[in-house]
Amino acid sequence: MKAGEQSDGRSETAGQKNVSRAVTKDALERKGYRAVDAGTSADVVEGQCKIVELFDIEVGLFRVEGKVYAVRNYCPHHGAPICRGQIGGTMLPSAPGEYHFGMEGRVLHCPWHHWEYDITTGKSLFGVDRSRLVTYQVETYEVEERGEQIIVWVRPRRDASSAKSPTV
Amino acid sequence: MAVTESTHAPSPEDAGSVGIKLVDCDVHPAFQKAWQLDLAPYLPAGWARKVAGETFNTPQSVSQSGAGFLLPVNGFYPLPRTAVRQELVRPNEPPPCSDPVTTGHDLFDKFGIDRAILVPLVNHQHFPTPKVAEVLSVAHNSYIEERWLATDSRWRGLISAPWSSPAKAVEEIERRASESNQWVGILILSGDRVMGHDMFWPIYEVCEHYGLPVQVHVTGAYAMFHTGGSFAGGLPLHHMDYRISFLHADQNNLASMVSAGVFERFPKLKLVIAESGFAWAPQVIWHMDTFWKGNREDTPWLQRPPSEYVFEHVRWTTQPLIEPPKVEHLRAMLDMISAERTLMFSTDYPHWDADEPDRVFRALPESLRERVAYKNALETYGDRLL
Repeated sequence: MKAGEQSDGRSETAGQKNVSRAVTKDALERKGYRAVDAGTSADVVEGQCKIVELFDIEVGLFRVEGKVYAVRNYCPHHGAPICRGQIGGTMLPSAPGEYHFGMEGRVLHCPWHHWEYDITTGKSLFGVDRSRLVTYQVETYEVEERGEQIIVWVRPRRDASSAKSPTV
Repeated sequence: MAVTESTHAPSPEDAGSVGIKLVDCDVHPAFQKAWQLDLAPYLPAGWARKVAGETFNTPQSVSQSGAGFLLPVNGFYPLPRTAVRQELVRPNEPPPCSDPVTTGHDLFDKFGIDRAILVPLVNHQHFPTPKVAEVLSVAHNSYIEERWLATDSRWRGLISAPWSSPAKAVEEIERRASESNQWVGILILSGDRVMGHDMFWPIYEVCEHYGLPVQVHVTGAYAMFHTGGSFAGGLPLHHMDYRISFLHADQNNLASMVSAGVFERFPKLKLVIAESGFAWAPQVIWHMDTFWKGNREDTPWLQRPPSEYVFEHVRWTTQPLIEPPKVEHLRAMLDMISAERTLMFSTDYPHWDADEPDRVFRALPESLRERVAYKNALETYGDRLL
């Protein structure tokens, strides 16, 4: 499931923190997603990426303004290991000649061609104000922090029953 | 005709009503005698002697090096024959394209051109002393007005803008643009300052206000003098590589104006790149898009891909039309630059490598011919062309 896809709006039960969007377990499972244990909250700190393998997919975990986000470690441009890129801020859209720094900790810079992505949405920053431009999107996943456990909803490419990642 | 401060793009019907079907966007007027003499009546008091020296064109003046101004010209990469079409050179007559009547016979009568835009390559803008560039540019504009524009309503002029004095350039542009609609744009002769530089922005502002495109053209002074800009990679050895190096300035200036955000700041401004060809443009456009995507934060004011700015704001003239062995290569190039929006016909008369209309349009697909012949020019230069 990519950031931006719609859910049916019903919220998860209480006891979970940092649910990135109101989605139901049923809706995700219907689309083939499985909840996978991706590690502990303490493993994911601001400004760093923790790369985990979930089923057959490399996923980078980031913490931005307290929330955890999960991004597939694959740049849609040329397939670079994007989660190994720098995390930081960037210069925001401005008037010609001016520079305004922002989005600190929220921007992932691809290590190859430097394309910038918003970690929280997965969308590329170029053309951010333009709907006509074909924006690129890094594949992102639903994340829950259940207590100290990080759960990521991933859609495996192979039969989940044969995958190594423990479902929860 | 009424002078307008800003123009709209006239419709083909407007053009049809005044009989415009072919616009030549690059004609090079010459002086009849010598620039020092031709411009003398238009210079302020005392300047005629300054530019010509006390005893112009005599053995005495020749022997006094440094007497009077010399125009920066390139004597290192000569053509083996004439720089103009050889049959136009007639003994005991003024040089080709120095007389509007005889020039008009060729352009208006023989070629069927309805509007011809004069692009004087006189290098005044390259004088290192800004005041000299100013005075000579202003005088030259007056010369063009009286000697050419006033003689036939089909001539159009480009205001020579002395960009080394931006404030004076703005004043001159405002003056000419508000006096007559026969001035359809301004002329910047590529020099030693990239055109995205802040110093040009007051000029762009006044051009946008009056609906005047900025037309650029390299000159024979290019890279021969410090103020004429420089070649990338060093001085060429022969005329062929010298001509290839002309592309450097246009490529650089195009990228400079896009990256600096000129078209973001001046959304109505147009740039016309004359006599540079257009087949180099696709790579430049694609490269700009690539580097913008990867380094967006270096130019965060660009809200759109560079290619979009280019297709909206930049125009090329046809001459010299490329002659690839395979016609499909020309067609592909035309497609890559969105020629239906960006390409405008030009002859480059009277130069040796000028293109005549029938040769050009024969090579173009039929669907492009009207666009290139006059419709793109109407959209670019506006109702001053009518």
